[in-house]
Amino acid sequence: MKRVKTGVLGLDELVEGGIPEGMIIAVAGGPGTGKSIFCTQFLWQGLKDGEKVLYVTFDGEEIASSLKEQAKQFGMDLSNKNCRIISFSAEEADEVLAKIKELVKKEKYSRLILDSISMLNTYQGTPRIVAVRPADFETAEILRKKTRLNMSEVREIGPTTLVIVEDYEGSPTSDKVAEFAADGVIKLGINDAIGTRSMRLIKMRETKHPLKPLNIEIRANGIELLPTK
Amino acid sequence: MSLEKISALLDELLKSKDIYACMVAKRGMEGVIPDSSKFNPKVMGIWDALQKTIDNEFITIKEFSDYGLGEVTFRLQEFEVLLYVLPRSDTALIAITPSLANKGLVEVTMENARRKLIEIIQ
Repeated sequence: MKRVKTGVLGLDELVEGGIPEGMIIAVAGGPGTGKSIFCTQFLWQGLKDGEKVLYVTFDGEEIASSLKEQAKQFGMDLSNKNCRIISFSAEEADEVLAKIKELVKKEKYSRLILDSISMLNTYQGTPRIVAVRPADFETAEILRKKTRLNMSEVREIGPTTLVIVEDYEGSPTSDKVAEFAADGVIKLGINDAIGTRSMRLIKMRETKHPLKPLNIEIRANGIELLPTK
Repeated sequence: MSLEKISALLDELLKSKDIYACMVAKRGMEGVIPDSSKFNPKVMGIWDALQKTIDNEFITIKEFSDYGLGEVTFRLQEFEVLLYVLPRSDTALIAITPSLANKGLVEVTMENARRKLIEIIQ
């Protein structure tokens, strides 16, 4: 099986050399846990390997420049012709996945970031949910269905994909559905009481990986796993 | 760096014959957890159950630490789990001991370790 390097120092060795090619990995965590940095490192590794990479966001036009700025702070240059950052508006949410699929096919992107599945779910309308049981009209149920549909559509797009999931105490269960539907889940956490950060590899299909929380730090070149003593 | 100091503190705690496993963590086991090879193999058999029960206690800790909740202790099979809460936080110093351990000694060891931990993070 071909594996894709994550670019996160210390991680690839723990997952048999990288993420299995073509799989969807949910990168989950609350605000400030390092999800964007993790994804940027993944893109940067792709660029270093001569690949074409695509970052899709719903956070507005300004995110492209702020992402590039943030990447620069960590010594990564996303101003590369092989890197494209696209921002979709809330109104475009229903067609986003079809557009991405077309783009990936045409431009042959091998790495994709979807930032975030939570935003996509929130922005999408509901007309393509066809089930008619009364419970389906409950927002939470509809969100869960949308997540499942979206994740299976993402799977059809093709490249190795990181899907950002907003996961925090009280986050909607629809986001947890994304974690179930993904081939792998990498959970980033922070303990502000003692000032430590952690990463957990909850699952990774076809890969042997540690289950215990791994301590990480955000250093000059991005996220690094700290050696266990 | 606090991580190294906390790791050293936990390693020191693990030298006590009555402390089978220990960590500093909050709900979801986010924090500092020594390598499981350092834990007494007896606890590894019920590690999953321990994690789930400990995680559940953090709901109470988060809710009541602001009121001064200091310690939570419970017994699971032949083990006793002690959670020493860091003041006004969602995080605790956790130790897993045999249920027939010298309780007084373990409590003094844990209280001293909590104080050292507070010094480290301040």
